[in-house]
Amino acid sequence: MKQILATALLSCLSFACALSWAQTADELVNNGKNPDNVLNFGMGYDLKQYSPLKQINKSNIKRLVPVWHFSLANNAGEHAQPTIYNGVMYVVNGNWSFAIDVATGKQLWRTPAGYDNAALRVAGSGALMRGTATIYNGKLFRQTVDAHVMALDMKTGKEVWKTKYAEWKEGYKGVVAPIIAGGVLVSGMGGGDSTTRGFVDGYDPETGKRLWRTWTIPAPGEKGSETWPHAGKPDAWKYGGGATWQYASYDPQLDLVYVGTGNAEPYNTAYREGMDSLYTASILALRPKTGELVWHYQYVPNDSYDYDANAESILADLRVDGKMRKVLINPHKNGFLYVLDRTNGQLIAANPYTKVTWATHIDMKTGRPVLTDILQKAMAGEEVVFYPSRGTNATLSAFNPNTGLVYLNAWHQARIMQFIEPKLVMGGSYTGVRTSFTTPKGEPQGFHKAINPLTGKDVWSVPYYDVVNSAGMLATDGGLLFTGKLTGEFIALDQENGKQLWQFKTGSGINAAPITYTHKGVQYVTILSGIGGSNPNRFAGSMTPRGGSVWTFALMPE
Amino acid sequence: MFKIICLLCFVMMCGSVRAQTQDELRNNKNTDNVLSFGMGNDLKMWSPLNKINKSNVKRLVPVWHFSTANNNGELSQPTVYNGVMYVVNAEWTFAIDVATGKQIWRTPVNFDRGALRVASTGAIMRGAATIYDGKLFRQTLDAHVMALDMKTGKEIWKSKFCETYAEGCRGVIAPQIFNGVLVSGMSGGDSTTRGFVDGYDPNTGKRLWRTWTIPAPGEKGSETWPHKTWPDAWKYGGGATWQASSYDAELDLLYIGTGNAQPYNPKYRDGMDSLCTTCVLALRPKTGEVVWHYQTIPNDVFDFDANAEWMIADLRVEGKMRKVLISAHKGGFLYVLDRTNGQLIAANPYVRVNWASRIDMKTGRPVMTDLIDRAIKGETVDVFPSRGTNATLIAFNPKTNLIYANTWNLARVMKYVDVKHIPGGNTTGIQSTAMTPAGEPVGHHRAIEPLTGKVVWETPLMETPSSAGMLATDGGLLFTGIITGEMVALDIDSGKRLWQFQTGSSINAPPITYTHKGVQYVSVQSGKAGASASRYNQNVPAGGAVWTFAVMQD
Repeated sequence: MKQILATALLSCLSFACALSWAQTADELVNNGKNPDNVLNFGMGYDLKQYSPLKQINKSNIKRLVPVWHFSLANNAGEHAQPTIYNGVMYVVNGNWSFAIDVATGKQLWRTPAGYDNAALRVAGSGALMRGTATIYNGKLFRQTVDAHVMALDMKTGKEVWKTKYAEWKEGYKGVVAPIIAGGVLVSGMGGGDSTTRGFVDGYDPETGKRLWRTWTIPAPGEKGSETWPHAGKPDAWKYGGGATWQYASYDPQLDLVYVGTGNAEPYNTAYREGMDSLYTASILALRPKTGELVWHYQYVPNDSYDYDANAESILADLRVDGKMRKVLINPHKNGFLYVLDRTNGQLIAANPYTKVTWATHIDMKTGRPVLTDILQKAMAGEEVVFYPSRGTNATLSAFNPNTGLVYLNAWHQARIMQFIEPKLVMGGSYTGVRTSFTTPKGEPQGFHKAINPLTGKDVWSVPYYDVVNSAGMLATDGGLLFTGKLTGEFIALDQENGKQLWQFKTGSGINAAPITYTHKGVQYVTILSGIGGSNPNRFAGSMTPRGGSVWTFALMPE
Repeated sequence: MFKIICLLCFVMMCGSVRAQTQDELRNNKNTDNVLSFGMGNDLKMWSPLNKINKSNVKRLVPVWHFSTANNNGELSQPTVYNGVMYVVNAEWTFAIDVATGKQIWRTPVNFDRGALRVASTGAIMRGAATIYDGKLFRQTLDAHVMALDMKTGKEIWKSKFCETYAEGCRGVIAPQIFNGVLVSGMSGGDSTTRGFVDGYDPNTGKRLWRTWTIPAPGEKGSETWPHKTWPDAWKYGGGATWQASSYDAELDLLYIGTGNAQPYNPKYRDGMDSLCTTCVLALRPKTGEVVWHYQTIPNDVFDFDANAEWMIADLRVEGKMRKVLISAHKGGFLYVLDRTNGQLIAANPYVRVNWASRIDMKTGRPVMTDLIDRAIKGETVDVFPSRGTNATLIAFNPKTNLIYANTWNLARVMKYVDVKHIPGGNTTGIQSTAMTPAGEPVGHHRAIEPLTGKVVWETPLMETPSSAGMLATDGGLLFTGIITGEMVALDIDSGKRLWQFQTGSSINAPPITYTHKGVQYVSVQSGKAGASASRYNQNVPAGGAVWTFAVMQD
């Protein structure tokens, strides 16, 4: 009864708000019920990148055509995902925020990001923006590369408030959209390859007032500080990395935000005396109202390989040993696919989903990787070659609750690495490695994969040879997967076997995640195109021109 | 016979190479290739292709898109040769696989950024990616002309054509190949420049000739400049050559328009004719010799460049076929000249005109209204038109003998002011804005009879005028674009919009059409640019791209 009342109340609320620009917390929680709107990153707080829409399906995908295109006047790259509310699409990149009419693709407003251009000095991969155009209660929230978080009026694009959250000269940079969780604006930071100490902030979305800050690296004396070499390297913790440069997932029932932390800094473990270095390369479960750390799990203690744990975690319910569990699925950069109990951080499964040579397996008792001899060789000064350089490249994977499978674009690439002495220059690179990348000749650059998350087993795996893949994955009930390529092709795969069914070549590289939604009863698919970021440019920059844009596709009428 | 055999051998030998010959340029019958600007040296913007037509244009869809990594705007037209598309803008040169839209190579222009100081409209590039004999030719904003290897994009030669860009001279127009010579213009006619046309050896970049558009003291025509009172006026007199030429291979003449007189304010030129500003010049490409000239507006005082391309056609005039030139002049008159000798055949207004009542057919001079006198007295005047069309190509249908143009209904609100002579600065001598009377269309798509100026049909544009080129096809279609980004197809018989697609930025360039493996394609560059277009598209984001469309398979 109570639930019915609540539902009725929600309907009223939706009804009352249908024509307004405001957008409520309930709507955020219930995203997906109204397929006209895409209110969160990842197609929902659970980041499943799944849609029940099936107007566009295997039988008619050949008739999918672009219906409009919108230039984003940006050569720095498009990594974000649009949001949609009441017929308006919101888009962010490093240089602009936009509101676009979903029906026509015409601009409603645009606002320059307005950052201190000098901040580009510490932004090795340029002014880029991950996540989404976060919207809530009439405001659009974003970061700027010069380490500010800000709110714009959704109706006009005018600035409502702007708060500086760090000093960019120290290497901090704004590259990820904040998220609204439990009415709080939760906001991360980038700069983990530089001289930074990671944190997550909570802001009042109305005023921009900071409510809390949770550091990802404990100060001396705090819990976890025993994992830093305070005697031998007293300042290591101050520049220890653990950046929070990708998006978070949120479980409204548990009221927990799940955010990954980045690599330990320097990678060269000598400068951290080989200690665990909490909470780098970890997943943190935070209470959004307070920033309280409810639980954590460190995937890679003493990360020495740049194994950020930032890849977004999918929230799902899985049957494990006959019992339904609330889980968190993480396709980790280190090549293992982790399944954790998201109520308490307990490890349920961890299996490799791509070639892995740095560890033999994850010890299910301790939750720690069992290392091969690669780290020792590296510490002895050898140049080592290890797999993977990254299992996926900082983008969203998909999960279909009907199949229980994870769909992702895996990399098949080794990192060649030698430890060197890092130079501590504020805002400079502080990795302590010389590095390059290789894929053996004739081998695929990677694979589109469907994976059983509990076993890590491929249900299917389709190799790609021309170039690595940095695009997000979207699964629909039309039996399709939508993803893209760094050479510009937006593609649809058969969800059952990975076979490519359709493609359209956009003008630049695709390194973002698609969305799908309806407008006036018609299903649309939208993706941002625009090569950007260090890896896309490194591996595809010479073959793909820059230039950002929004693409919207629909079926051509018969 | 010998000629035929020889040609065949040549074509066979060259079939798979990237070289492109003189004969191909002249006789482009192969619809797989688009070898020069304007769909042929006559600049008719006409294609006999009809696979895309009125009955199936609704099924036209983008088949690929290519980002040109450029926010300065796209005003150029691609060329296509042996399955490769070549594209230029001010920042880049590209070779693209026609079949897939994938990049084959790209080369940055690397111009001196200081040149942006004298480029009020930013770094832009007009014309086409000119190709000939294995090379691609282009200009750079900082006043160089250069050749790249068509296969690799590597630079072969680069020649400076102005001692310094600092005086306002800049490169915004692609050079063209006529009779084996690379003919190259210049821009900067609103600044402190003296116009010219150059001829280069395409193999070496050596300059073969230069023809100034303004005579030096003592030269023929110099009597039209005030050498006593304003002894330096001719040195900064304008007459820039910032749009493309047409070429008649039989007559071996190229036709190039020259820009406004500078300053616009006639006080600084004693109201003299100022040859050869706002002229069309007929030049011999091998030597640069001026074979004839016609000045459209002696003593131009309204910024009425005659640069709008002079299209080549054959028209029946009073029962007799005449070799003509047609230009939709910025001043609002549609000129038809005899291209063998420059004789005026017709000049009728194709938009609202209030600065002149007509063109006197005997003298070839406009008959002025009182507007100029009022302006000289210091009044602010509304001059119709500010421009009849906006620096882009019109189309001609040889089956109906009609031209198709995107016309503007816009007045220039102008007041003369004193000129400050600053090298490289703006020296127009006017204060100026633009205005369309409330409730009126800002422009039209129009079909016009060239000899009478009669509008056969028109479609009003209420939101923004169009700066896009017009392409006519035998499929009964016109392809053009809108500043707000729509690529559109119009019914050639009525002007009715049959199809549109929203591209991400403005379209202010001319489309092309061609075939590849038997399928007809339409391509156009999109990307907002230019001074006039930008006034209308505050709400349109920048961002350059090439679009390719085809009819969706059943």
